Amino acid sequence: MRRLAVLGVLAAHGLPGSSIAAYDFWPPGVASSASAVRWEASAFPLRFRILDTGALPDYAGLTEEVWREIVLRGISAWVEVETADISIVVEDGTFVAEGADIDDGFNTIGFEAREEWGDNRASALVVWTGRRMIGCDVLLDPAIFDDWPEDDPRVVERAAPFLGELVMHEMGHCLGLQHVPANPVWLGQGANSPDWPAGFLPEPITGLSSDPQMAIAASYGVPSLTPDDRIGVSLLYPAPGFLEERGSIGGRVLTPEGEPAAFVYVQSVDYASGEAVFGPGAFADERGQFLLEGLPAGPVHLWGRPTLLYMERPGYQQARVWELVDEHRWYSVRAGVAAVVPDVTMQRGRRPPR
Amino acid sequence: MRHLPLAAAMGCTMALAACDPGDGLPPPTAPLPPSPDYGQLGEGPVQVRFDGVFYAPHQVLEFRPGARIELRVVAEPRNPSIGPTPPQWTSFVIQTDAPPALLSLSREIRSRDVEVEVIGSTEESVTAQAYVGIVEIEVREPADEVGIAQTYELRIVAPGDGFREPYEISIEPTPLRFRVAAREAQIPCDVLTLTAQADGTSGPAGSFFSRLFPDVTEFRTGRLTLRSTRFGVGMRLPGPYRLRGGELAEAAWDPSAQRKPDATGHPMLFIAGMELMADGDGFEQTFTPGWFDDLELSAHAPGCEPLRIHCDARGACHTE
Repeated sequence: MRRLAVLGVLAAHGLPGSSIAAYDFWPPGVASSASAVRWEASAFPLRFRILDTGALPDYAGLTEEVWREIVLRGISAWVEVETADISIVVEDGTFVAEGADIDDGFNTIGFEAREEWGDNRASALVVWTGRRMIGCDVLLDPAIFDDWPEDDPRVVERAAPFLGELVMHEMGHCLGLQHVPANPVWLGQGANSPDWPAGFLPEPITGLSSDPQMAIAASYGVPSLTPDDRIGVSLLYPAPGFLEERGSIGGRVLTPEGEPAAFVYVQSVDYASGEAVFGPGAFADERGQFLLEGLPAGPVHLWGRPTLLYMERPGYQQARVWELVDEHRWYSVRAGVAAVVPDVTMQRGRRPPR
Repeated sequence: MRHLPLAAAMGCTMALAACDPGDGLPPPTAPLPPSPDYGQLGEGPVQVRFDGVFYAPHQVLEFRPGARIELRVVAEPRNPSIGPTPPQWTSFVIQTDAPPALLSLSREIRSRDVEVEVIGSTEESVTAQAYVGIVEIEVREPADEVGIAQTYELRIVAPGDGFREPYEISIEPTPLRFRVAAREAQIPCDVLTLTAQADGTSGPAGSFFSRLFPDVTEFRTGRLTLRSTRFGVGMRLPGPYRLRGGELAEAAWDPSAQRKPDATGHPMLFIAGMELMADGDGFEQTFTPGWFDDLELSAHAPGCEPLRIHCDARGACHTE
């Protein structure tokens, strides 16, 4: 009997945590874009079919036509990344089936009732061989709106944008991006934020900067991709000149005792738009090593922070870096150079309450 | 027995209807790409290549003297790395054209237990050993500038007597390129300044933060400025992180609030603005934080006493 290793991975949105081995790319444990799984150039345009299982939620006037428009919007966010070379086609009509089948040769997106949904609301089933992505199915829970009230217009109006963000997130998995952590720092520069009720935020700020769309937590209603998302996908499918114009900063993060500070998250701050938003980030590996790629040339602000997730998950518990305090560093990035900087030693501070 | 990766069909085989390109989407092209030969996936030679955090073949790695870097060497498909004994490819050799005065290289093979699921069975799995090559680079402190800033190569090569049978093993031909940077001069301690100026502003925390942290009522704001004529300096911001939790009311705009208590810790502050500007050979960084209890931070440069600032709940800031 020929034994085959299963490489398909279910990537769920709505999980409050994911394996600590999840870096920016597939497969889990890969921390460099050069090793990441991706679609070959010949696979483009990627083709997706809308899966029709008869389970479209009856909420907020969601019809097949509205759903198709939502799917197109979620996908076009990735197609429109100027520094990436991505094309995706959503075929006409629907693919009628009882459910998605990753082995059927079709990339699909649709609602499907599954017993194992639990707290998840959407998932992407990604399959690859070697470093070559070969299939992806995006599934959403038909019961996704079961707890949403029908008599609050503010909630009902959020339904379509919410689905669009889910599609955007899951398509990020289909393109090869993994989960990144939510950024715990409230950055009050929310140019893209929705309208907030009066008195909702402190007066100096009008919105909250989002987490990346590929973060494992909410992006606070921001419907667009962040630099972390855009640069991540551009590293996988670079437009001409992108890689040549960018540089990288890498190094080692240590505890005060000189041990590797494994799983500290190091994130850049991107000032290119005139506002500060979070740029590419990466977990330090078990040796404390990290590499941030795709950084624009010039001064860069790196923000190292512990992995502040308290889920009862083995990886996070093993990380034991949550008592470390945030560490900021400034470096100069040069195009075409991956500079390995001197060790960064983090310090302990006040422990967060459990 | 050779283990092969999962082969899944790719591409569409149904007759293509006219596609709706949608806004910003490319027009459809026909015909659809052919499905790959399922049986051919995973076949072919085993390719050995570098891997790990610093695997960046499209860039030149620049090491600092004293750095210790770990690269990995893996084989693709990855499954030939799994078995009861080290596979043939682990006899690889590492070569560099860099002079020994600049760096030293060492290699070892590590293994760990892995569970391998069996296709066609939802229950069956086998335990095996997975092997990975480790290459450690120790960048020396050169006695002079000889060889500094030149670009060198790091290559994987076959052992002198070649790889053993039975598999055909190829080595990724692209080498890793690197250079060693000159040692950086000590940063003068007076190049770094940190100032904090509370602007006297206070105000209600707002219902967003109040619902997250029920005990917060007011915030204070100020402006922090860090200036340095060199890069490589740092700043620490002790974050009194808290977990938000419970059912979050008045959150119709935020479907995430309907979830279970958040597992992410949040600091008791927000940052209303940050700016970074190049300034000669250095930079100027400003922060405009709003804090709910107190704020303390320190800036530091290698070999220098840290600069500390504390801002209290009344909005006063002082240097410690």
